[in-house]
Amino acid sequence: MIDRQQIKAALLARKEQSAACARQICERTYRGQEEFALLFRRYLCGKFMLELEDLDTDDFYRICQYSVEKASLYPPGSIDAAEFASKCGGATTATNKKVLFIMALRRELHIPITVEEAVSVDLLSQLIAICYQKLEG
Amino acid sequence: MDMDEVQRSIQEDLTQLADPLSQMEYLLACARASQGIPPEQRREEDLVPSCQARTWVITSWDGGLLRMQADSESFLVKGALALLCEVYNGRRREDIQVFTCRLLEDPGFTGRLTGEQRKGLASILERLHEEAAQ
Amino acid sequence: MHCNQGGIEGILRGMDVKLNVQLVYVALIHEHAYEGPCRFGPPEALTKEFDLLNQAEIFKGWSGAMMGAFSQVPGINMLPPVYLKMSDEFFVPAEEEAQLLPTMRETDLYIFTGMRCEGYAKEFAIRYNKPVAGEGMFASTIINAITRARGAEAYAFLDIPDGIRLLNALRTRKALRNTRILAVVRNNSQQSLGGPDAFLSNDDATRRLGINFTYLSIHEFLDMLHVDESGKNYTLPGRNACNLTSEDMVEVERWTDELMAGTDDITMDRKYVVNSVKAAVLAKKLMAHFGCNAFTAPCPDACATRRMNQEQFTFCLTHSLLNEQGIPSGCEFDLIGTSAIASLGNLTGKAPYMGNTQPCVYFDGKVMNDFVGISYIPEMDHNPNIYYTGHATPNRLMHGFQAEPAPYAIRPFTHSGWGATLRIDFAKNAGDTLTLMRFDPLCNRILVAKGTVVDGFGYGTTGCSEGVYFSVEDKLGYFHKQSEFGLHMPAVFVDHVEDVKMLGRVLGMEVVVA
Repeated sequence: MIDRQQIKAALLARKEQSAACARQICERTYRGQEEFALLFRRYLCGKFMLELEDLDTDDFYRICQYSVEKASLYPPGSIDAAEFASKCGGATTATNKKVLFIMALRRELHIPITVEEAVSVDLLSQLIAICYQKLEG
Repeated sequence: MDMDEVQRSIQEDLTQLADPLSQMEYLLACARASQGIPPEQRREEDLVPSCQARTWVITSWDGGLLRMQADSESFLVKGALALLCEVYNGRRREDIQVFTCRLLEDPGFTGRLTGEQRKGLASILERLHEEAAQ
Repeated sequence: MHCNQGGIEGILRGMDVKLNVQLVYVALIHEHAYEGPCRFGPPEALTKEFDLLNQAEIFKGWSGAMMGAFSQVPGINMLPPVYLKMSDEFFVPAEEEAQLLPTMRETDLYIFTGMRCEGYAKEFAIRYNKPVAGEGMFASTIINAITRARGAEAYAFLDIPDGIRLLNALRTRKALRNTRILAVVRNNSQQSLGGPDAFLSNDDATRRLGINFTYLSIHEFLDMLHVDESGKNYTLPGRNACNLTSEDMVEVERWTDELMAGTDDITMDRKYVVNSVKAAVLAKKLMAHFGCNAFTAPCPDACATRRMNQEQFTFCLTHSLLNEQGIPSGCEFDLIGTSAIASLGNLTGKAPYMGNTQPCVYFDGKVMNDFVGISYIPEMDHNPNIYYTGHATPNRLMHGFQAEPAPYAIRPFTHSGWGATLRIDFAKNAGDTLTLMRFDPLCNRILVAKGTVVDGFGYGTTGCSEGVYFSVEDKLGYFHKQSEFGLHMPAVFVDHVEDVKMLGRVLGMEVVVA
């Protein structure tokens, strides 16, 4: 027997954490860029199924890659069909992760990141700075 | 819980999780928690023919109750099979015969699976119901 | 008549020619979210929003990889990559295409990629008469097939190394089209006594390769060796000419000093080295004056005038030094050989060495086709497939213009002690691979061969006696194939057969592999 309740509870807790961070960001209840950055990282971890300590690099592509690797410790077949869908066009799985995350930022946090800004981001700190700038002006 | 109740419980879990990424993680976590089939016990004759990834299902009837083990090289499929095992394992023939599995129609359950993987799971369910009817 | 001083200044070498390459990414942006044949995935990945972001990311990754790889290749100039948006109505609007117009004149090759870009790339190649290549799975194969079939120029490349091979070949072709050979001639501008296996018509070389020729009388050249005597030349009475000047002689002396200081093994007087270096400096001066960047001069034809004996120099050192400087230079007025030097040098980034190339014929411990310097070597006891190539014009940079120069000696060509030649001990290159090439007299085909160095000859001797023995796979087959091309085959080290094959492809020439 699988303890589904424990699995669900852990996932819901992570979702709630991510949602709470999103709420705080949307409601601007953080004080300053440092606090914003921490909320943003927690939100990212929720989306990427990572822990805060997994963010030991500022390389955003590496973070996306790690998120994929963690999910695919797991042989092929476990990877998001969205990522397969775009593979014909030459996208990497990590690239798709980044794109989906940018879309989530727009949709859930109402941060209007442009295509040019999204493409220019190589580092997590860059992305945080752009988002903070967008929200605070 | 009877089969319908377990099925409903799984569907409620997926509904509560709501977003596709969380639903996928649920399946993967179930795969991780599942015992599966030890490699030395996986036999060619237990391979599911219509599955793209190598997938094994071993069934036996013990005192009229289904004993089912399943595993797959695809972790998503393994997770889906782990949940099907939750529903079908230890059930009587007559319970299985009257049961309708709706999990394959649930987008939360199958949304991350390819068409081939869904077909593979459908063939497994068909086999279980055929065995139950014998 | 304006004459430049000596030095590479004033000569635009083939190796200075750049190939301008334009990357083009065609981004397919679906207007609506839908699935169907060739489109599948969860809803969020099917939106226009996803496509706009995703395609921009793919472009960034792709162009970064291409720029990173190709911009490192010498002679390749990568223009800023262009990103064209195409909707799922599958046409590229004029306002998107306008991004390509400003640089169209200077662009030599367009590299296309992107989903469903093939039709546009084909149309672009035909409409604008520009070479295109497809990169990546599907695009490379499809674009090449459908564009070439329509008579337009297109290429496919498998991976970065293959792409580099293509770019090098295209750059070489461009360099050849910018090559003008200063051909010092005695009686016949088409062929010479030393090079009767010439192009049937030099116009064929111009038409097929783009190489042009400027002809100059050997007698005028020899007169211009006389320092500060412009206006007094017998062949150009009263005319200002490009005679060497006292300023040029400073360069002559400097170059002579440099050559002599670079080796302990010199067996000739300095004054005779100076004579030979004068010819090299004058050759460069004349190339700069006439807008040339390659050189050839006759050997037996010039010898028979007796003026070489009078001036006490040969052209051997000129050819060695010019080739080392990336200026193709062939002896014996061999225009095919000089064209092959230009091709091989540009293609490989190495200084080719052109020599008489023939099979060694031997049995029972004796070489049958004796030539100066050729003798029986131990390798012949067990290897029936030995060839040789030799002339007194070796150079120190056959491994590359940027490589460490090979050690050398300076010896006279003549018994009398004049006619400076470099000598390289090719025995030290045993085991190295050689690649040799030549065009045929119709300028339709390329012969390429490779072999492994087994020994050298002539290092310690005088005369036209320097060269290298190399082992080939099939001596008899090579000989018969070579007999349709001619004697001289410029050579460089390392296996460049695939590079020469690619050159043949871009020149539209059949490549015969010996």
